[in-house]
Parts: sequence; C-alpha cells; structure tokens
Amino acid sequence: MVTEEEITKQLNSLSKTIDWMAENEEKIKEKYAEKFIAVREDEIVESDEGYEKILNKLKNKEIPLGEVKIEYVFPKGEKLIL
Amino acid sequence: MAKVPLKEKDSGGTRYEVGIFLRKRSYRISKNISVIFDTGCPETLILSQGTMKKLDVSYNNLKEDKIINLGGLKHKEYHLGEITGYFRDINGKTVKTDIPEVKCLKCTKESKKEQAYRLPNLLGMKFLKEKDLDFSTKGTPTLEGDF
Repeated sequence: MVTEEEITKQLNSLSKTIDWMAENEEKIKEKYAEKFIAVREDEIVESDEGYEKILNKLKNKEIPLGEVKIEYVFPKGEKLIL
Repeated sequence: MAKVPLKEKDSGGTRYEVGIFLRKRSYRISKNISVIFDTGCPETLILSQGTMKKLDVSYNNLKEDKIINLGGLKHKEYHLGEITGYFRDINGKTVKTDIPEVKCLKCTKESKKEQAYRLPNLLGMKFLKEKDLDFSTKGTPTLEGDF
C-alpha cells in the first residue's frame, strides 16, 4: 500500500524528470534517436531499441517501473501526429 | 482552487505534459505515469499500450469498445472505468481526483505493437469538462479548478 507521502515523493520526482527532459530535448535527440529511454530525474538509467527489452533491463536492474519515465525518442525533425 | 502546472511538449504550443499517480485497487494499479494534455482529444484519459504493459494490467477482463485510429495505427479501445489520479499542484502539494471513463488501447496488429509502444497517454478535454476545470496559458500553463 503506497502512502500519500510516497505518492507526493514520486510525483515530485516525475515532475523533475519531465522538466529535465524538456530542458535537454535536443541533447537527448542527438544521442538516443529512435530508441526508448528510461529516465529518473536527471539521469537516463537505461535505453534500448525495443520497449519490452527496456522493461526487462529495468527489472533485471531492480529499478521500480514507477520510478522511471519511459519514452520513445523521435529523431530531429520528426513529429508524432496523433 | 488548485493549479496544476503543465510542461510544454515538443515546443509546438498545443501539447502539454503532466505527471499523474494512478491508483485503482481492483487492478492493482499504483504507479506514476506521464500524460500529454491534448486539446484535440475528446476523452478523459487514454492509456497507451506501453503504459498498460508498464502497469502490468491484462486486457482479458476489460470491456471492449470501438476501433480507433491513433498515430497512424488501428487500436481497439477497452474500458478501465474510473481511476483515482493524484496530481502535483503549483505549490508542490498533492491533489487527488477521480478520473471517470478511463480507456486504454491495444494495437489490432501484434506485428505493429513496437510502434504502438511509442504512443503517449492522452489527457483530453472531457476530463476538464467532467471536473469543471479550466486550461490557462497565462504565464505557466496550468489546469485550474477544484479537482
């Protein structure tokens, strides 16, 4: 059972991750284009070309999935149309 | 009244990102996710196939709905029902709310699932309407109201 205190801590961490990724978008695209990355605050903790592979890598490293934001990095100039 | 800050995504001015902690005991959901607030999305919250995998929720017991096209891929929609969501407000406090009619997606073609994993979760206009929230772009973009 996750406490409200833990939820606040996790939300604060995710907020830092989102901010860091926005600030470093260009650098991330240069290095990790066409890969999935797992980011925790200001650190890219794992990357891989496959989503299920990155999940397995995180599980093997015993990194809780709730602590990382996993995102596909679209190459420069490429945008996702929803 | 609470104000939840949004982060502009992809420098386009039409999509904004925000973190939500989701909780639904019957499906053992208790995790953080990030969502794109998309003013063009008519639903409350749509969870991507990647997030469903991350949350470790099976589609087996979920009620199926229509086929939709998103990101160039066909998906089947499933109903997850109401989920409790926690947001972080502009002062760092946690705001709790119920998110009704949450849906999730599964790509109709197994061979395209890696492409489906690239799609984000979407928070849509129906969430704002249901909760009577406002979207403000004055200064820091925010969702405002009594969550």
